[in-house]
Amino acid sequence: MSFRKIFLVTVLGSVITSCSEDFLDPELSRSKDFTTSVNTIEDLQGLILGAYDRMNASTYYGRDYVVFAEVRSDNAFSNGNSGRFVSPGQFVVSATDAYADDTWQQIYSVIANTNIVINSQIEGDETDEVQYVKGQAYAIRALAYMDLLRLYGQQYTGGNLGVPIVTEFKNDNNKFPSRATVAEVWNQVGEDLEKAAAIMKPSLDSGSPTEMTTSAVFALQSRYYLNVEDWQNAAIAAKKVIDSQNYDIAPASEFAKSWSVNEGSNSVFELAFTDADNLGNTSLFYIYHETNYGDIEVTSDLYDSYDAADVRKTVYTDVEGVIRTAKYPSFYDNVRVIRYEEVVLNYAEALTHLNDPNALTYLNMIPQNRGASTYAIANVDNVLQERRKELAMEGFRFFDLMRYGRDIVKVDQGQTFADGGISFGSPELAFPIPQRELNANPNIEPNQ
Amino acid sequence: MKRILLCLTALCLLIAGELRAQERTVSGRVTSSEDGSPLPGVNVLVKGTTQGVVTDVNGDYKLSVPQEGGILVFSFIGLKSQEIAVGSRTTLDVPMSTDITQLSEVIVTGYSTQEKREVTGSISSVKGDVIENLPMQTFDRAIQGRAAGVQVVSGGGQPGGGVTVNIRGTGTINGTAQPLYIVDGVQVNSGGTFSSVSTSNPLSAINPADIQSIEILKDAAAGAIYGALAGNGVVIITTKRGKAGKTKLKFAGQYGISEQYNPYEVLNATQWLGLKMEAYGNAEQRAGGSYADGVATALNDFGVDDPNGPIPSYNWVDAILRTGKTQQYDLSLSGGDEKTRFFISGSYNNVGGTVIQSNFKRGTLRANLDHRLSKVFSMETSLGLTGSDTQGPSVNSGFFTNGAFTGGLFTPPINPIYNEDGTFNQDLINTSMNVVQLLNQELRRAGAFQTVSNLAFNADVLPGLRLRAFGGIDFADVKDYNYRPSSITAYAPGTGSETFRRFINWNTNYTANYNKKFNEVHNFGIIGGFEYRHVANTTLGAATQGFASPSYRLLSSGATPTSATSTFTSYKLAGFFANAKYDFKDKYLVSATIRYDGSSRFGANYKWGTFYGASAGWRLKAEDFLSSVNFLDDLKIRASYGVVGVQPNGTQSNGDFLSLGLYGNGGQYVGKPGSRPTQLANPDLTWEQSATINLGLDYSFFGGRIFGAVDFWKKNNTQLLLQRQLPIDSGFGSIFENAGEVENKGIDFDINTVNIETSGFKWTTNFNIGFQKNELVSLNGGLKTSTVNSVRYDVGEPLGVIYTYEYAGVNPADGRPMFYDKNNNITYNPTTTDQRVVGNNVPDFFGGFSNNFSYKGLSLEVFFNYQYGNESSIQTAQVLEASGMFNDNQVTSQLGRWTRPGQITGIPRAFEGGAEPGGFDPTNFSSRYVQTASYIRLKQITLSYQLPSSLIQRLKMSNVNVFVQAINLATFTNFRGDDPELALNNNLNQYPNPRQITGGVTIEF
Repeated sequence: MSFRKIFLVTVLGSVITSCSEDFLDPELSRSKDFTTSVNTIEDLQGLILGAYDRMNASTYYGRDYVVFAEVRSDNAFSNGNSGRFVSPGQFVVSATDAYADDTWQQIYSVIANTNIVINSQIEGDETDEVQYVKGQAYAIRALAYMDLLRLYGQQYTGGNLGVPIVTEFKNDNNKFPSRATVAEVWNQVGEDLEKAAAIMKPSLDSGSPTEMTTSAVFALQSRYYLNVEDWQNAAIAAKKVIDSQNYDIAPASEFAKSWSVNEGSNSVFELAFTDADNLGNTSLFYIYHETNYGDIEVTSDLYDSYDAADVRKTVYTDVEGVIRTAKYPSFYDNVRVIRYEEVVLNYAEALTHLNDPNALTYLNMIPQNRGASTYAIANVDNVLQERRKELAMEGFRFFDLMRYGRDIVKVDQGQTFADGGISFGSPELAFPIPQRELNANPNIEPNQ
Repeated sequence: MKRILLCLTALCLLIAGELRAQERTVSGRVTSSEDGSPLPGVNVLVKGTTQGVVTDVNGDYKLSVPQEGGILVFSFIGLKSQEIAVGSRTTLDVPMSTDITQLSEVIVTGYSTQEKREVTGSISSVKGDVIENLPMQTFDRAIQGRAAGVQVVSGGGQPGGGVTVNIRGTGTINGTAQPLYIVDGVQVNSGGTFSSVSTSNPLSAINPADIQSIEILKDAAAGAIYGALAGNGVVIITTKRGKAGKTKLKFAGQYGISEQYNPYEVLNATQWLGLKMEAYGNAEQRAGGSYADGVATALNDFGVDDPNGPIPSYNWVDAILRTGKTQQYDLSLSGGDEKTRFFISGSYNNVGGTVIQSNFKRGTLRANLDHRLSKVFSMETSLGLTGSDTQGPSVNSGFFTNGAFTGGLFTPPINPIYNEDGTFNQDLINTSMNVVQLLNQELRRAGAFQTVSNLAFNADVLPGLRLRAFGGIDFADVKDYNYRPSSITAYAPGTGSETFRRFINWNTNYTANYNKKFNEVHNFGIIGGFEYRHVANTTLGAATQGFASPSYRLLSSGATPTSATSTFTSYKLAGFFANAKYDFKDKYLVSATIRYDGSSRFGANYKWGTFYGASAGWRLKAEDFLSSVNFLDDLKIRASYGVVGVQPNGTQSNGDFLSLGLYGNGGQYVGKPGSRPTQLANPDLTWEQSATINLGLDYSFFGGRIFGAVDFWKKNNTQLLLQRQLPIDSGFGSIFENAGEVENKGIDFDINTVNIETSGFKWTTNFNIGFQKNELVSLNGGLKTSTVNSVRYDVGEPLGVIYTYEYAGVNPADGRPMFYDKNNNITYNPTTTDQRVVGNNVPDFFGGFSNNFSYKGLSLEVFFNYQYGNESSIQTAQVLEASGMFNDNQVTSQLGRWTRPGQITGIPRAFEGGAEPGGFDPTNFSSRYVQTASYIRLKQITLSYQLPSSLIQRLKMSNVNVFVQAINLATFTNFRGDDPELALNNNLNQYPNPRQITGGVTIEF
């Protein structure tokens, strides 16, 4: 009978359909399996964009990394209004503290992106375009390791342990990396920057400071060489940026305004935010300004260091003795990672050590453009003073003091650490290695 | 696999021809032994053959029997089966009686059915007539307290809202804790809500009045036929089907009201201001100022000139509540002949919630058809269509005043609701949101269109051998709509968002089932088959903002698009299964099941897994030494063991792809899309396993006056899906792995008694109780404690511990709150290390208790459900019981705060801002806000009257029943939170279950 045929056809048809080859393969749309996903230059560029996106998270450049260098210095303190940055400001960050944990994880997640780019072999690998993208990855990785080391390394506490160096994504032979020495990490940073400088063609620079460019790589090199006290190379690298003539020091009349203009001519590298993609209440704006957070106040010591005529004094507000920075006037403002002014000061600093007579010229370029009094001589104290005034609240002060072995001095009753300050070499000058890392990685040593 | 099916199909084609011996016919009538009325639809079968018919409208049958007569088997659900030798007779009239012991009751066990007598696993059964007229929108709510060991927790009082069902305890942390639901063979999506703007239960696709029976497979041996899916038990829903005979028309309608169950008595404005003045005064005094200055500040802050004058007070709780109205109508038509049978029904529900603007409307349509094409072939189909619309407030938990319940309770009573001109007051103390305005003007609705339908072909190729091909779909389209008009200042300039969700879930299976009795003593059955399931969920959403006026609500009316989202996730399952059962003389019963399951969700190395179960039973009553024990109707001991799987909880991010290394678009950068690795692969990832051992006893005494079951069980879940901490320098925080163990053990007990049965009057009782003990045996990596999705887990404790500070009461000397530190010393200022386990959410036991009284046509059912021994946090109390330290309204108990030295009270003195210098904020969570949530609830009381048949027959009706019923009429509990049924960890802003009273009528033609 015919129904018998229908039955047969139905059964066989259905079975054959459901038994086809891929009948238990997962269907992925939002995400792809990464073993098969990195094949084109667009894929590499996507990972670089993903790395920038991870860098501008609030646990890294979006807020925390910048604030750490300020609340742990004589520039600023946390008033605890929303309970944020209290433990860093007191120098009591513990291994289970989210500040130690989140930033560590965030920076290593940036490194994961760059490691995939660096180690991918794609078709057209040798072309300038692909090499440029890979160079960006080297530069970002260098910056990430520099930042990790400066926060977690023992170079300011008398030890010599740095951070684990991971240069391959998901290398099963290096599942539990141990900490490299401080010198090894610096070496890694230097090599990555060398590599970036070597393979990135300036002709491919986009012209936008929101992406890593050859000038940004040179600027990072100058920063790196200052840290390792290779003054000669620091000067050479900084000079390359200056000689590119792509950048200007923001003039006095423009300085205050420059903070609400993205991609200004004084910006070498900045991390971008947009209307649709910004940090809102976890932004620098929210923590610096009078908002329902507003935890970070500026010390009177910093505020009083400016001459009355110094235009930089106008980027502060003083409401009944509560001093706040006016930098980052909204959460749409890009985070300045490298300003041209820093490069000029890097150059001046390097020349100072090299006893080059041009040091004073470059040092004074900054106050001259700020309506401030100039210096009579170029020495380390003056360079540090000018860096403090120019780069205040941008994430430099703590590291500048550390580079010269200075103590953290208590200058304001708002600061919550001990009155005697924190002497150079004290263990609390390094963030602890996060407890989660210690739990999961048997090879890692904690900080004291 | 293909080969197996090919073989089976070939077999079917080869042997379809039948041998026919010489035959004659026998006829007769089947009647009820109680009133002599004819019984249509009774199965009459020549024993050992497939030859059979069903009785017609008049109870008559006629069928061919072998020349020598043979034995006829008469069976019908709920009646005692009879086997009668025909002998030489040509007519055979049979009276049939009710089977009180229900030994012949048919139990759906998965891909086949069994008589209750034969069952060796642990299965609870709830019949449709128990739930069909309840004013509940989903059946999962209606089985609460009806089956031992099955814990049903309603997600709240939103009509049509979600429910969680927990069979024999929770054994998983990151897996799903919900049972597998099967509706007429279709594996359906369930659990939680499928809308994000309102709580909306996926199971609302099924009209409870259409349900014939609900079977709950509780142990692993019973569930093993569903292998990897059965780790939390299986709930099998069978809808009603037509019976041959006269067409029956049934109408049921009811109407009723519901009102809020609200345990809170809040302060009026004068009382509230009194506490505030005291709080300000105390704080000022502590700071070195004067008490009077503090009071003056308070009066200034709240704009009150004379605290002794009349202060207008506004009751915000009353303003958000209303009496909800319930309407429910069902119409069904069923009947058919020997070849074709049908059940067609339609229903309409319109249920108003107890909070303004909360509503559920639903229409359902069902057509269940059965058709026998020939002696060999038959087909069945169930078609169900449901359209529903849910509208209701957000029940997101949080200390916000924009929740309906938090807003109503917390808003200070000094705030007028309306301005003098009748507009909503939006200038409020302590909140920027007028919750009454919000409820009236915000739109939150979920519209759903669903179908759960199937089609099956059967071929009865040999006596006892049936081949079956089945396909079914569970489909839902849901549209979420949320509109916040600009008239609400906080939402200016107005926002609108819509999300379309499509759930496509289909499964198909092919089975061969063979049953044969050899030599009258060896009863043998085997079933084997293959099943495939595919689930795909997509969403598409957009939001815009800037609406000219509340009359424009389409997204395209918004000035600025703000977001566009789309998601897709999917998984696939395939399984081969087989079950063999055997019994000897109905005395020794054994059953063994194996299922080999594959899933797209798991790692390449463990895509396929084997699950199994075995059970055995011994019917002692069938032994000779008990056959003369007359008071004993039946006694059966059962033992079973099985291992089944637990599925990942697909709701977490990448929940369907946990084993894969993923690389995805990660955020954006200057408007350009970025990408990044998002998850590390674990190709070894596999199912959580659940192994259950069950020992049970079924008993029946005194001619069915006492019967029931008791089961002892232990369930061990292992290979839990847990996140292992990775060295973070890998760029990832964690990876999923299989590790850890949870143990559940317990006793399920069920007893039914006929207490009194005299002419006309009958009193029966059902009592069930499930005892449970839950323990987290181990976590991964030797961890002793872990926090997953902000829930804490401690090895050695049950899942669901409450871990916090221990409150030590108020120091009578100074009125300050005290706590215990880790050494059990009193401290004002505990630190995080002083926290401890202060309770857990797992009840010691729970169950139901019902009594039915009937006298002539009048019957009364009184049904209680209860739960004992679970602690719950009461987060609402953190705000409402704060001695007026913050501006939120308070409950009247706070008037008993400490006011003078020496006073013994548990309520600290009022202190503006919470923590006193050097102290701890008493409104932080602590054991002060934890309470045992045991309760007994009068869940249902139904009074019904069946009109005398003499009267209704004159009206050409066959049955008329009028009833009134009340749901949640009374609750006995010490719990001071919203609703002890909702006693979970995070229970802020919950929608309590209402009290409902309805009346209605059922008419059958």
